Amino acid sequence: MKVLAVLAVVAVVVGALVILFASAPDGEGEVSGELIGSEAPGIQSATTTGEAFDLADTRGSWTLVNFFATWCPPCVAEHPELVVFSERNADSVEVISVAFDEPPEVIEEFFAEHGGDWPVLAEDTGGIVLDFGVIKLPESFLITPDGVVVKKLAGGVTADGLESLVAEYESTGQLESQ
Amino acid sequence: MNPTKEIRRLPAIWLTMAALAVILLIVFGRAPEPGGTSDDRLYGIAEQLKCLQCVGESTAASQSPLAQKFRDEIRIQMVEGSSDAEILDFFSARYGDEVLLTPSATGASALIWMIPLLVVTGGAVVLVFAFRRWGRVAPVGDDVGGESSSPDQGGSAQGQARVVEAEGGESPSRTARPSSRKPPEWARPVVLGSAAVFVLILGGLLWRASNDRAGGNITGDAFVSADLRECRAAMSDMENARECYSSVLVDDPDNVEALAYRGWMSSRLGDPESATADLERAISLDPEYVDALVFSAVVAVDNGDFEAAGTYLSDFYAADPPEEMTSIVTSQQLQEKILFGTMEESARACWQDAAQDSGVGSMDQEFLDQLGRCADERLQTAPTSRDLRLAKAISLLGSEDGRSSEAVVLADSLLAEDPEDVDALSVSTVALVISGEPEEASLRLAEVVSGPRSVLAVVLGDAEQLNELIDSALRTSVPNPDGG
Repeated sequence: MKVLAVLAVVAVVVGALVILFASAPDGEGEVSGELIGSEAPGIQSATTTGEAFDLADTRGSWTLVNFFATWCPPCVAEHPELVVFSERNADSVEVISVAFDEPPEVIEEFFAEHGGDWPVLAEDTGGIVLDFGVIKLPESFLITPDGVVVKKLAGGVTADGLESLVAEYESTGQLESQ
Repeated sequence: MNPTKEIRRLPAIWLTMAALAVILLIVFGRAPEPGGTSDDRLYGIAEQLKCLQCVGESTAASQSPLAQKFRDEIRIQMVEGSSDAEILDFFSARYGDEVLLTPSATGASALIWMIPLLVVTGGAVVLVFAFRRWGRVAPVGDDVGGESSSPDQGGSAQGQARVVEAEGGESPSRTARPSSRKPPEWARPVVLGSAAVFVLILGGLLWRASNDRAGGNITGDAFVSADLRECRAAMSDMENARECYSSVLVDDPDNVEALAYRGWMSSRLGDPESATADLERAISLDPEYVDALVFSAVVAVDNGDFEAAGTYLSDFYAADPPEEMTSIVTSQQLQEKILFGTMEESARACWQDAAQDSGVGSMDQEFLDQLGRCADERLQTAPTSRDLRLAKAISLLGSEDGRSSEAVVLADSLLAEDPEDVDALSVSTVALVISGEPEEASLRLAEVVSGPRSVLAVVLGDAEQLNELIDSALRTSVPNPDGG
């Protein structure tokens, strides 16, 4: 009986531990915001060149809001693709860059060196980062001409990939992986 | 049984357990202040939010950039008068409920709350039964102390057996239970105390684990330790990142990533000696770790050791680096710096003039024309200069008037002087492809690949690119002396 009792207690404790750790996520689960399919959060700010910026003014065009930092190697690597995407689709696409956490002069220097002629927001961007639910860098959000966020792209983009997403949405009204 | 003695002993154990419970409640159950804008309240709220760029850490403890933004936002909302619940709702609306470290008490999540309580309660029940069981048995100390109950008082054959045996006598009955093998007096409090501490600590750990349970990182390599992820996320603050990597190295002195990145942080913070030591150790542990190789090349350039930098960079390219690391080569202008750093003064001036507009990497026609003109001029006064002759040979590679065979001749003359001149070998290989001799180019490419690599060879095109060129030329089998 004594042995059985000890075994029972051990079983309860081990079982509790198993249940606890089996029910805990493995740490790699994607945190999902509620943004996809919703209207894009508003952005009213000033660009690094001192002009007023309102995301609502981009209605009517496809818009890519890109979150980046100059100290982030994948951000630097994707930048030429953003330049190509912007130049190839200058009539129909707006690119907006939001610096994660750097002074405007650093951002200006980066754009002077790497190219890119679009609005860049660098001051007090914390609220924008949180409104879009940004977690890692780089992250980009593709917004339709109606102002709806249809895609979150994490880890880098390519011009071809972005163009195919726009084309897919325009032909089918949705994105397969949306 | 001696109830007086037993009762006297019990409170000490229960008091110990109660004290432990109170301490655990204080440690694990401390609630933030309900209002105000104090740091205590801020961190109380932040402790309920997961650090999304770390593992097993709350927003309160993390120094990651996103956690700092979370705390900034919490402070703003506290000043605006938002309640704790409103602030937590703000984050869960943007990042989902997964951002909350405190799981809800509904559905399957309720298990997380119940398990610690069940374990603690179960442990307490076990202890109560143990006390009661032992309470029915007369303790040895009572017997020895002369306050033992008589067999009549004890009321059980088992008790009688123990008393008699403790006094060295025979058991009055052979049917007496073997429980007379009683443990020494000190064993009971030790066992009970250990059990109590175990149960309470287990409960506390489970409680804490359930609060920390969903701290998984969203980014990066699943096999990277939590500490390293934290260091990566802290890289925007170099001092902080360096300290972070140092703390990783305390537990894991041979961690190659921590060594390489601490070295990189040291070099950016103006400490080249520490940087070099860490990076050399990282490479000695993993000679193909591209991050350490490219960082070492940068540090060597900073130290003016261009030869070493060239070797590191060649090894870097040989290890097939990913794009984000090659971007460091570009942003740091490593190829230019190493080329110019190892070049004779007169040739360097030519390269720098030519690269002024387009950079070395582009090697466009304008660049090559400018390089050729300058080399020609300076060769008038220094006809034996190896670097000027090499520059001239390179300028002929893109020549529109089909003079790539002249490049082969020039490169061959350099090879005659030094058969191991890998730069000359690379130039001659490219020139042979252009001048329509892919078979010979293929043979030389084998030598280029097997020999030491040079930065110039990298600029001219890596082995894979040259191989493709040669293959393409061999497939067409059409001599193309003017091609480029």
